[in-house]
Amino acid sequence: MSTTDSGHTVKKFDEELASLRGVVLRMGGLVEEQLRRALKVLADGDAEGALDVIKGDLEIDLIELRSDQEIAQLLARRSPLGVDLRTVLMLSKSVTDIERIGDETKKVARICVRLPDNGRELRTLPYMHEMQVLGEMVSRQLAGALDALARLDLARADEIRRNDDAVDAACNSLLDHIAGHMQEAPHTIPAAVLLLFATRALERIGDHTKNLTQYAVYLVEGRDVRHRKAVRAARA
Amino acid sequence: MEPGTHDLRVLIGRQRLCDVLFEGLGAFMLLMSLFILAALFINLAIEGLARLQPDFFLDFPSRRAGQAGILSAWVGSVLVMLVTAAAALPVGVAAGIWLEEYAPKNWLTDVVEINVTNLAGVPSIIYGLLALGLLVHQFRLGESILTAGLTLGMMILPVVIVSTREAIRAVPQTIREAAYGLGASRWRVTRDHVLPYSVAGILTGVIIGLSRAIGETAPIITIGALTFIAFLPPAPVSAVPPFINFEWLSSPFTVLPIQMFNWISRPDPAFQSNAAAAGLVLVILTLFMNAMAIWLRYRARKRIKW
Amino acid sequence: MVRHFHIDNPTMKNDSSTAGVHIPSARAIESVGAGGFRSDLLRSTSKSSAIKAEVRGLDFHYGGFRALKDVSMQVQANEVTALIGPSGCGKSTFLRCFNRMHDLYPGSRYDGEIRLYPDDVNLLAPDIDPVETRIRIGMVFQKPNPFPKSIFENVAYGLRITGEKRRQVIHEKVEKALRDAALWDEVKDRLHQPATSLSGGQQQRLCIARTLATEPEIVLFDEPTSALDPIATASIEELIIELKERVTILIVTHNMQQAGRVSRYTAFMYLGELVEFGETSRIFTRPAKRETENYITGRFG
Repeated sequence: MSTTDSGHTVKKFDEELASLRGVVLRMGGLVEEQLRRALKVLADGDAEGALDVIKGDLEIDLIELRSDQEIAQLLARRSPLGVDLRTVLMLSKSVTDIERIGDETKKVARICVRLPDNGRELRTLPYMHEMQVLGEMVSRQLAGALDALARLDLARADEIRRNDDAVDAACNSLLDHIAGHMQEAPHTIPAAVLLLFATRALERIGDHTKNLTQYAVYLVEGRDVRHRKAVRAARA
Repeated sequence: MEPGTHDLRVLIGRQRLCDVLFEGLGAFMLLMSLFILAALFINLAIEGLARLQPDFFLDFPSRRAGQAGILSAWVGSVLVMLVTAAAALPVGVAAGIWLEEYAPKNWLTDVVEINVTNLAGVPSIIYGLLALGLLVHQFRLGESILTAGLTLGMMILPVVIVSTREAIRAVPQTIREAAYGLGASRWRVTRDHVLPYSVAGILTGVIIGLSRAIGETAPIITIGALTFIAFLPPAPVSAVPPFINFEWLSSPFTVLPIQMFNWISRPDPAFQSNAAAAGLVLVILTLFMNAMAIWLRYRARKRIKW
Repeated sequence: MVRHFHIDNPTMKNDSSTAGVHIPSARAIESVGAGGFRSDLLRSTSKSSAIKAEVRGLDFHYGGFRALKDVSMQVQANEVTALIGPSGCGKSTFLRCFNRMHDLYPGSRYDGEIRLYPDDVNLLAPDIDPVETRIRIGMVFQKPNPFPKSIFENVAYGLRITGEKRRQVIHEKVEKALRDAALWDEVKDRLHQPATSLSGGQQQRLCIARTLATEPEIVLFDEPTSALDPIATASIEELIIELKERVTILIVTHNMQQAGRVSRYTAFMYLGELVEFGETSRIFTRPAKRETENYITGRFG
């Protein structure tokens, strides 16, 4: 994950950057796994599994603390510039987004715990399949974004970023379905409300995923591709 | 204890022994030379101290050793030194400045530089011969104070040039660049900075040159200085206008070392103690001049820091 | 081909091969921050500035060595431009072309032009007296080099060179220069003490005051803080930032953080060539050239 071929004259700098990258990518891997498990928990109505997922988020929080510490050290001691500066900034921002994804994942898992019968009734809801499809979509997006970030694969990052619109569309359609079903079967409302939250959480995960792809672009090209609309408005 | 430590200690011990040995040798050599100097000085003092009465400085030479003095000799020495300094200082300093600050660096200046250094090694009697041919015969300056002063001036010129150059070179280039950077011309840099900061070093060189010249005998004899002079040159200053005159320049003269030489060649042992007394005066004069050079250098170092 | 580096614009691709602008023109400078946007910076209403000097195809030789190769760039008026690069890259050599310092040493030759605006004169032209150039373009050196004279005389020296004889004027200008160099309060009670009695940082500020006294148009700084501690360095940097309101500043520095702190524009030089020139904020976050990237991130050699 570096755009320059030769290492630093100060070898320790390379090691520290590599270590930070390792931490962030491991964090990404963990979150990816958490999301997969949360989706399974949701599908199975597995409250115990949900508790595991919630507990798993603690480790991610710890990693965030550690990586933030390493980032502060790097900035203070190495005063990185150029691609190094971009790498550190990008990793720092990625950490925040990854941690948020972890939080959203926790929200998804928590639904099972909140429901009276551990969420077993969820399986009976007609839009659960659509929910699973959305979950897998978001999951794939996240995996792809982390991959793009790890390999600095801008083509991949671009593809993921463009897919985000599809994710948003799927979310909206799911939200419509849930709302529609709530009117038909009022007894499902308590569960449905929670699922609305879960859908929102997945949408948020999609947004954070998109951010990750934009960081990759910033790292490689030094171009900030976020908030296009705002920039255009400001220019006009 | 590590196995290698012992060997290391032996090695360090041996090196320390070398240190101690060399230190001792150096100190011994220094003491030896100091001892020789002291012996010479004491020898002179024993023989001549008794003669160092005020009269000795105020009497002309005489056939009677007891009445002979060094009046004409020390006055001659002082006047010759005046001419020497007046001749060597401007020429030597100008040459040194030109070589350091102005001269282009090419083969011609290299040749000049080498020859300046070589001149310092030319035996002093050669200068005497040159002066005899050039100054006495060609320019008809006669066997005068002027001739002697110019001769000795020529002789110490290399010393003045070399010490001027060294003093100038001690002025850091950064100081020059600072002055040039403000828009100073070469002449202003030289006048406002290079010369003022190196003046102590230059004067030190001049004094050392003079202290060498004051003891010179050979060139002075070569140009034909008299050995027995019972009169003083005309006084350079007078109470009537034009107050200053230069007749003394063309006056015959003698100097301290010639006076000494004259007395030594006499069979009467009383003259030997006269010679010793004159030698004592010469040595003290030289030491005094060197002390002044050291003091000047010390003061400059305290005053000028980079 | 003569390559011209001018102030790059984020809307323009960073292409160094575009033809240079020969007419000094006020150019809008747009700045895009690295980490995020600030909408006020996006509008192209930020301070526009004129060009103080323009270097065109400058070659410099000494002793048969080509130390500068076809350097072209513009120096913005009332801004700080930093020259960075590894030792021996020619940045100090380049700086010393501006005040013709090389003329002091034999065997040097300039080709190309350094045009000074608004008079539009070529500083390197043979008919321009380097002495005049040095009065108009001041220099502060790597090691503080006050004259071994009094504090007052150090600052007054430039005025004396320019022929100022009136005591009152000299006094006023010395005081002003010392105030401008943020040294007045520290030395006003001991103006006649030797300059060498000052601390290193004070000596360097004295050297700055000495340069400012004659009101130069450009001040060249050749690694001015390399002999100073961090506190003295900070005060010199603060001074440089303040001075740019009145003069145009070129600074050579080995300390990249320093270039980042004080300069608006940065030129990266390598092996006698100007590799990249642009706004400091861009050079330090996303340099366009591989050599620049390697240098600023410490991947050299």
